[in-house]
Amino acid sequence: MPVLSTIRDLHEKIETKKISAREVVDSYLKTLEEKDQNISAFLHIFDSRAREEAERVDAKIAGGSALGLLEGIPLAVKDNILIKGERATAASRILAEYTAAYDAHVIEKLKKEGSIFLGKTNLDEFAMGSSTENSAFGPTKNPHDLSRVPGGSSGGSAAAVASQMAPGALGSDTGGSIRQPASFCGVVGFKPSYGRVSRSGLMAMASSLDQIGTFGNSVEDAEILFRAIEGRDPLDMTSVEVKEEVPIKNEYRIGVPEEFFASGLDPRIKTLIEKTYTKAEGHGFRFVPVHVPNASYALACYYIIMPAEVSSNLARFDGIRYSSRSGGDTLFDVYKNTREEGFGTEVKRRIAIGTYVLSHGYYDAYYLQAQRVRTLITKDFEEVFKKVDVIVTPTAPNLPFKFGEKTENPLSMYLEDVYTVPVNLAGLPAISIPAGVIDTLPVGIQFIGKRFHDYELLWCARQYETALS
Amino acid sequence: MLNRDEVKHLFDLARIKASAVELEKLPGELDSILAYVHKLSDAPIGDIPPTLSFAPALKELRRDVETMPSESDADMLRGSFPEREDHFLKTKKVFGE
Repeated sequence: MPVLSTIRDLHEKIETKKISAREVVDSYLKTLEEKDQNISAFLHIFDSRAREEAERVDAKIAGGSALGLLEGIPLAVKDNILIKGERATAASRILAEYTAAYDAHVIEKLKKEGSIFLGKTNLDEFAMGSSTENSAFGPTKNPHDLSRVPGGSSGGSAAAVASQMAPGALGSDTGGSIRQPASFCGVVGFKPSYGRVSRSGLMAMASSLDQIGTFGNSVEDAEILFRAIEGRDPLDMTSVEVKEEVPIKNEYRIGVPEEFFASGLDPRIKTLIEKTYTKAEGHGFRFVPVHVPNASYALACYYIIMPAEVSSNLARFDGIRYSSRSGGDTLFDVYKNTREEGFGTEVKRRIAIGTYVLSHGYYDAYYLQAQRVRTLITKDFEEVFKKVDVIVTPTAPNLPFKFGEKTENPLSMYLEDVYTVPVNLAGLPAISIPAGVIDTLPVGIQFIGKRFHDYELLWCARQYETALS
Repeated sequence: MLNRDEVKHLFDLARIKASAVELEKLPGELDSILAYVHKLSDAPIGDIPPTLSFAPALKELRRDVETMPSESDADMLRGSFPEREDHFLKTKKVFGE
């Protein structure tokens, strides 16, 4: 039985008994079994648990109860988000044997909705990377071309949705880790405004930048998942409750910032994106040139603030509490040996940078300076949003690259994030939707919205998606 | 240019034992990253304040009520202890030899 990919479609079929929840889960697990040997999107698969939960949903339907929209819908979850009683490795050796002792807030919310978890997906170790090559358990492959990366760090979740192993997935995005793999895998990836979704139960990477977000095969699916997980959580004091009204307008102004279409962008991507403007103009969009004058500082700003916060957040992995411990004569030896053996190269590199920029004599020149540049960039966006409703940019500067192409030069990998990191620095919502293909490889287009105008952004993205279809 | 000793010092501060391979490769890699991020020194910040966080102003504090995990949850937490003795987490001595 073919598995249909939209959440709403699956819901309608399950509720009207055209297909049972158990058949849906079996179908996705079968696809997973067939395809994941080549793609390696998943680190852990919850087959028996998923089947039991599907049977519970079927029993509920048999009893005549109505179903919630996400009830019985199988989902994939990035392996840095905790599900109680299940392994949570962050794709790191240091957590290879760790089992989560509690549910992330987003998982609690999805459980209340009756969603079913198919398993945990692969990522760059501790969400550090743009290709999923930094996973300690092997890379995930791009379903469109198995010799190429799926993007990162949420490469497993993006690949799972792209290859119909799951109709929807959760990821996390600190500097583009949902949007860039969505672009590379030809799916929709949405990063909410900072504070819109609780980070409780998300393994912290950079706490002022991290946000959990959603993947789907359509903007609607990404939105359905977002609606289920958003909201204030007393366990995350940075989370807020937002009452948003989406204004109905005849015309939406889309800002086109020239700084995001300059050198460094593959000219074929620029051409493809610009060709979409004509279709969009027929659907109520007007394109307005704008400027983000300090955009060129964003990547440097991010690669100071993020490693600084990483060096602090990863201090807890010291061989004492979280399952993995190496030998040593003294306590310090235990710390140093555990972290040396448990962390991969990229993680150690970022901890080293973070330690440097926070150290005495360098703090003002690097970290404090970066925080002030962050204010500059935030204000740039505030100015732009006085003139436009959303901003359009490419999601990534290049097509999905081959394995190993960027691993020798860390900076070349960091440049993957050039269009996505400004969004996290300013706490804004952003989404990548498929814009087309070049040489059979997917290309994403990014839309950026005003802070806490997530549903407005999603509405614009849905209109644009319709224009491109 | 960062040298081996400086990189080793960074790793000591971060409580990571640097391998010989890492001490060979990292000085050059960290140098090029730090050289790139140093471009921020040209940014026109004026007297703009830093953005330390987007956390909203604290309006309410959590009530000061003791909550204990259930025994099964506590057991699950203890399940992550690399070494344990009954309900206790076992580690190397913190103070003294």
